[in-house]
Amino acid sequence: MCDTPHTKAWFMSEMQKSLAGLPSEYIREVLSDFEEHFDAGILNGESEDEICVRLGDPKIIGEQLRQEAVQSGADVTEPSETPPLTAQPRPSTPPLISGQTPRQGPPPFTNQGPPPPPPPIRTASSANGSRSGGCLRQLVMFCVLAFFNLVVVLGPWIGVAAVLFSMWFVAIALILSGILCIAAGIIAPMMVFDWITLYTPLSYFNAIMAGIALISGGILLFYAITLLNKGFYKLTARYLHWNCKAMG
Amino acid sequence: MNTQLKKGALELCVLAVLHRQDCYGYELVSKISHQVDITEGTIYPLLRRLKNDGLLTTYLKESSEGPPRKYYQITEEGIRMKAALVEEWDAFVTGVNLIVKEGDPHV
Repeated sequence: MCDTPHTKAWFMSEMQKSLAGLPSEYIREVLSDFEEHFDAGILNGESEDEICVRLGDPKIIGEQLRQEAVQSGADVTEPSETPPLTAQPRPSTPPLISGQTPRQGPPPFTNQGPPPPPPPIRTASSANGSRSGGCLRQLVMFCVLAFFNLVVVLGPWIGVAAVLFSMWFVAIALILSGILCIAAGIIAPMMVFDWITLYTPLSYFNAIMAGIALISGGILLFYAITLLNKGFYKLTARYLHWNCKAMG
Repeated sequence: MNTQLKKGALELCVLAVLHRQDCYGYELVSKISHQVDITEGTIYPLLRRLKNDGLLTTYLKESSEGPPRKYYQITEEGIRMKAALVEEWDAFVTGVNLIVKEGDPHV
């Protein structure tokens, strides 16, 4: 760190970097606090470098600010590497004295959250819905959905899936027959059999053209099936997902 | 010096200073760092937390030397908290001193 000049600009830039992902309003406030600090320090006759040294490492300060932001329930878009949940107890006050029972009013170190084990984030502790009513509702939904799926959805789904599956073979067949046609068109004139003479040269040309058409048809069908399959897959997935969500 | 111990005491220091008078950021930080060897920058996250917990409030006050400054002010709850912390701190320091300097016969 000795090579980078410790200027106010450097400090503010480092601070901003270490706060990346936090709400912009929060960042703005924090930076403005430090701006004020620098201004007051300079007015007091200190140099930017001295102020930087006394303030300390902006990365560390930024990390503490980030933890504070998360614990105060700010909407953090970028997760910090040390989630307050599993980190040590909040970076500020560990109980100075253990085992001291509070005498009156709010017990001293508890407004920061329950004493160790580390307090859960307020935002993270919102569990899903109520307990007993939810279970019964889930069971009912499951039965209804299962019935509906079996009777109404499954049959047609199998039908569509079968059709899509068979299309693969149709595409393969098209391409194979196309190849055979071309082969026939090319090879046949070279062979001398009695029955070949029935065919005019145009037939061979036709055969080759027909072959090309078949192959292209096959390839197009192949491509179409790929798309259809993907769509069908996605539809199925979304339907299943909807099922899960409906059950809660 | 033990960082955890410092952090615990820092909250008490902040509240104690602000109990005597309202301060702006730099002023508060300087007062504390003159007596206790700390990383000044870490006071600011602490101030934010104390404000979120309702122990401090802030207000802007016009300054003759530039833009308005943000002043920190202790709240009623902050005063109560400070009193409780002082009690704990006194008991703690007394206990530690007893053990270290004179030796507790029960230990």
